[in-house]
Amino acid sequence: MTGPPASLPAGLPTEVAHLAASATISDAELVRRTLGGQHDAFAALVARYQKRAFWVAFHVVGRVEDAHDVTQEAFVRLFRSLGRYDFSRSFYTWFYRIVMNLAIDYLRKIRSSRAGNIEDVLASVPDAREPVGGAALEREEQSGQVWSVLDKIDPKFRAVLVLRDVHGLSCREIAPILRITHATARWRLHRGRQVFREYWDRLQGGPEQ
Amino acid sequence: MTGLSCSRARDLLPLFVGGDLPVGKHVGGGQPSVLRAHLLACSDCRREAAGLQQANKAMRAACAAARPAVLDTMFVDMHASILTAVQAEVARREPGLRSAWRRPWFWAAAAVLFLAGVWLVRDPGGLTLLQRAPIATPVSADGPVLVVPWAGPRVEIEPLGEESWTSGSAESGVGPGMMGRGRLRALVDEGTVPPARADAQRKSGAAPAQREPLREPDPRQLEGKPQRR
Repeated sequence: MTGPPASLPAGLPTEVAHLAASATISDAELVRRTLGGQHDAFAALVARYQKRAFWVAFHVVGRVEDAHDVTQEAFVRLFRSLGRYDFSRSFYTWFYRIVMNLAIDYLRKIRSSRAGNIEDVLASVPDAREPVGGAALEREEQSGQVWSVLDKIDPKFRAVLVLRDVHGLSCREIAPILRITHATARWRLHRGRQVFREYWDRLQGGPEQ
Repeated sequence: MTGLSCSRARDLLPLFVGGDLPVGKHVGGGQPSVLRAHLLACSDCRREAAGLQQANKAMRAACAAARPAVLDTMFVDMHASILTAVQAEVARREPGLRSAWRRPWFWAAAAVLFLAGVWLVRDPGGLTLLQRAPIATPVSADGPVLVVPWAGPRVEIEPLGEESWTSGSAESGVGPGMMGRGRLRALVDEGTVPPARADAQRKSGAAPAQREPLREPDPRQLEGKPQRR
């Protein structure tokens, strides 16, 4: 999950794209160059991590606009705290922690205002595929139900579910990001899946017999 | 049925369906295969595992579906907006007057100004309060002279003739007044005031007046202007 991403946003300046795509320049080196005054180095860091940060934030907060705000704020906070970066630690873990903390705080603030409105959630889910026939509609409905269930789950369980089941991080990687122990990460994953299944069954009309 | 109980098996299922079940002694015998064997033998637990797996798959599918390629253009704008926000942050952190108090030079300048102020208001003679000679400040012509320490700038009090503030007897040399001139005349008579002043007083033709005992001035008698003789 570290290092240059598979794809970078188009339209980046040449120097920034080169820095971001370079496999020989580590994240710590980019931080060092940013602290040295190189603006392109920070732009390269943004290019490397913005997509991952956005999707993690999106799967926690559930809206494109909110995820955009969380991602932007995360990079600003990252810039502010670059001077405190511990070069012996993983940059990726440190940055993801910033993103998750912001996303969870954001989710807690807006949860009460959402009130589980499925239509509102569906409108915010981006989908470029055109619905074709009943299967697509069924998929869209199921997608809305999933988001509705995720909205009901406690943010601390949702965070672990998103990082593990959607973004593929292991519990050992999740623990330092959320500043919890490995055992706590496993317990929250365990509980999160149980709770998701309970809400999901309720929405589907009960477990199949 | 295997040695694993159904309650224990169901407790392990949420981690098992995601491949997160660790291999360890605490897992009913030590291996996820023990749980697998139980599931093969127990239809209730198998049904429970299927429900968990279905819910988990639906969640992964829904989240994966929310990644259309069209949003890639959004990241271009996001990149620019993030850099703009960071530049605003840099501009906000530029040092200004508001943050001057955090700078060392600010405190050095404040210390210099403070010491300069202390130096300016000190007494030119450089004497401390205790080193300065006290000034005799008579309080009562009949009583002992009360000597008090320096209580203000050193001022030579010159007798101003025979003026009296009272509107009563013109002969009265003792009366109220801001500077206690009447009392000063009494001191001249008894020799408390330095001779030079007493000579100056005599030369001016001021005749020593009869001393009268001091009394509390009556505010109602403080009328009119001082009368000169």
